[in-house]
Amino acid sequence: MQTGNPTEEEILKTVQLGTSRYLPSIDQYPGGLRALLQQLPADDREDFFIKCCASYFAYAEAGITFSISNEEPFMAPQESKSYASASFSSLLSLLGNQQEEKPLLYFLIQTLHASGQLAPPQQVPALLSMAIMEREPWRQRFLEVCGERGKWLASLNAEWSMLIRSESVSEEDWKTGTKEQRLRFIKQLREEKPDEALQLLLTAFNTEPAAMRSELLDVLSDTLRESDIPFLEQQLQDKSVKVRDTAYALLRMIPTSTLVKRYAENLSQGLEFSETRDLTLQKQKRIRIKSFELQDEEVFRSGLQKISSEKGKADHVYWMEQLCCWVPPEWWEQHSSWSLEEVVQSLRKEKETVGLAHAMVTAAVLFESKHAAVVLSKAFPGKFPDLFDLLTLHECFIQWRHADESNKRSVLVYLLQRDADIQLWPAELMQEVLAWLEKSPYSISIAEYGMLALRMPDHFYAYLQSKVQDTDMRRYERAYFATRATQMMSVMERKKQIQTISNL
Amino acid sequence: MITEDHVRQLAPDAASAKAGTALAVLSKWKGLAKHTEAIWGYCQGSGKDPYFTRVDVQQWAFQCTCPSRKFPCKHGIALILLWVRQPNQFSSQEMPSVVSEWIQKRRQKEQAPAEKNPTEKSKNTSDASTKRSEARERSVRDGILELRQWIADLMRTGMMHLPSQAGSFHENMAARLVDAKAPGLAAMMRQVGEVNVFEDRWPLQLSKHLSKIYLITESFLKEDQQSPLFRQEVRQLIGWNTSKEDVLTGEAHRDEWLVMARRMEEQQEMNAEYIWLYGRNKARMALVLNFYFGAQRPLHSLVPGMAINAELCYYSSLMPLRALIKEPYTPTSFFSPAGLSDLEDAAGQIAQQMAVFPFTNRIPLLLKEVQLIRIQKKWHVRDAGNRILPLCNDPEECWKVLAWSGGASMNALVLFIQGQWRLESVWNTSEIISCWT
Repeated sequence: MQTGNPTEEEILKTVQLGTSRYLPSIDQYPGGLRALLQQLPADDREDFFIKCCASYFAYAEAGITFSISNEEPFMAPQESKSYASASFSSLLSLLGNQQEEKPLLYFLIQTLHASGQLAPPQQVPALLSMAIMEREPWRQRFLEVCGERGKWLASLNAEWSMLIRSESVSEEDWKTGTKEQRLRFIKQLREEKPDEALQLLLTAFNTEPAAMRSELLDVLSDTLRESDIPFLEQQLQDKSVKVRDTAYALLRMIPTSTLVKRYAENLSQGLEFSETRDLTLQKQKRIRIKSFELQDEEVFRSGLQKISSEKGKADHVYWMEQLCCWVPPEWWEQHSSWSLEEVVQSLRKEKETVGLAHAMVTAAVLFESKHAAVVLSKAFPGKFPDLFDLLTLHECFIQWRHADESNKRSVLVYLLQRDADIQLWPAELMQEVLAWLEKSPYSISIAEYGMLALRMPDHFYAYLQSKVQDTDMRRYERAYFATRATQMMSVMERKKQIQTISNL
Repeated sequence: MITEDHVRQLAPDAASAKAGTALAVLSKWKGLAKHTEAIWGYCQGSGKDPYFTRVDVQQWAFQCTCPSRKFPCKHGIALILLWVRQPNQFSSQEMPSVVSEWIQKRRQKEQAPAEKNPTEKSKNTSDASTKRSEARERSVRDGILELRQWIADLMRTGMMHLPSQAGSFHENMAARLVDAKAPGLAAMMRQVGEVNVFEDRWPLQLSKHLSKIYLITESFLKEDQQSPLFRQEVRQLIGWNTSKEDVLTGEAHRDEWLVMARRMEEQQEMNAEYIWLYGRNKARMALVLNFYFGAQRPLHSLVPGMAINAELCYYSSLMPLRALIKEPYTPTSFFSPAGLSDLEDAAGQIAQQMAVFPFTNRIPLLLKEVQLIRIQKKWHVRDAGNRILPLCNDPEECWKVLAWSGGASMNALVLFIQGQWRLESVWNTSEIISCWT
């Protein structure tokens, strides 16, 4: 209904005020209709007005006129890849975004992606809506199976546009672009030409506002180098606390920085390494925390907490634990001439020093020390999932095997979520996992059972079948595991179906 | 003929489609078997005994021993999916007695309406029936007079006070029309209540609805001046039903019918199913309209893209559109219907139909080679002459169509509904895409 139409204005005025207060007129009605309405028999004023109204609206509907639009049509670019088969697309449309269906959906997307095929175009909007909820690498995979059409649609829809945000930025963006574009430019330059990026930062840094200075520093975190130390140390004098904190955090990540050396020095002052022989004349290595006053103000300025926040923990022990978090694990070997295994073993002996071993986990992650991760995960199987990223899949499996009951679940869930690509697990490990789940079937969720099934070698189908058939329904655990076995068999079949279709 | 996509659309809801897919694995089934008329199998559920599921593959009818009130149930969906994907897993067998009896009953039922008719007619001529229809006539007339007075009073006093009673001012009148046995008018009154009184120029929308209702009642009160067909159309709008048996005894139109679109709309406490069909040889549209309460089973298992060789009987009308499918029907191959390439011609068709019966509320139009375009975030269909018509679809439906068409020309089924345009489906030479679902 268009505005500004005189007939409609007249009707509007009449129905708002009412015929008791406003005498409706047909003078504004279209000519042909007006002539007919003048001969219209009516009982009263209202009867006449309502009939006029109805006639006008029917008249308007029957005489539709169209606007003209010369707007350029938006045409999708051509696809270079082929579309998946009808069976594939039908499967895709049936797998929703629900948690239980997610593993199979991921597998389907992974298979589509690997086969270089595209989802049918009518399913692209639904996939784009899912993609914006995903993290990398899945977001990119969802987008890729949507093909050129997906990118084209994303460019037209504000909700999806985040998926195709242009990655390429130029020097012009650094000068005149938005904050986001400038940060992207410096990050890109840093990856391609690290020295040039540092030079650019050196020249422009002081003219930037504090918040931007802090974010510019943060850009360096993924590509830190020894040559960055002078620049970062310079920023420790910045008037902004936020910039100083960021500079300290970055310096803490460089093992050769003066700050890390200072931490190591203070750590060595607070520790005592000793070696004695016990009654069996075997050497006993011992590490003790000395009671001492930490005088180094620079260490406190860099973020070390002065007062212990843990009940019953003395301040000096608390300092040592914090320092231990920021010193490379390799320092212990160099400082004591003991192996890291011996250091960790010694730390575990005393109640007071076990916290240092736990703190070493943080250091292993911070300095990405694979050796420390292996040693620490052997000492505390399954206890520190943060370490798993530094271990191989096989080493993680060993972790699962040796973890106590309370940690087994978290290690298994980590393993299920660890790799974006769904790959088969070694049969031996899978057998152990299933044997454990048979005893503790409630340990993982239904969706996690689905994820497990996708990683199962084919011959486990028969094993699952035997569990379904051989069920003592009187025992809840066994009955529940049998149900989950059925679910896993179903997932395996659907996985096979996806693989078969993708090979057609 | 049936595809996995068709099966997905046969499911009563998304949850059933998903559950059915999960069950469409061989490990869940035993005794899978097929016959030219049916397929069947046993599915292990959570209970001790497996469910026995059977499907009539000629009519797409389902039966299962599970307690689900959904139709088809997940077992039915799973069984067809398995059959579509892995037909060689079904052994060819003679139908067991339980399946053959069920199929036989279905076939008998399909023939039943024609036989039932004479008794129905004799019922209608009985005295009691005459008395009942006279009483209803009086009741409807009284209700209509009251409605006209209500509309006239509203016009007299003006509508300024209505926003304070938004959503409820019409309820009493709608209820009185139900009591007066004029359910069609009551439904129209409920639509009046759906006008958003917080939108700009809402009184125009409201007066459009009310004046149309008023004119329908005027036509009823002066029906002796109308042609019999016009009278019948008005009476149908008010709420008089034509029995299905009467329709099915009318002229049957055999053709290859393509399912162009299917949409479920919630109307009060029931669901209305609109199935739009296009007849290949006679080049005409038909609307199969079904109403379902709660979990009632859909009458047909027809989804867009399916084509059937069937006889349709139209309800008698000035412009026959609503029809019933005479069973049995057989599946046939997909074809691509032709349409109008000029929107002016489409407007001409609407004017023609409105001139014959001004209260027509759904007019289907087949358009050829139109584009879907977006102007200032609003969706339109544009013809080759750059004429545009604005669409009232949900944006999700338009994005789906744009994704499919890629902005290129396509054929479209558009509905003209009370002054608005709604895209129902689009197609090319090989497939049809429904906007709904």
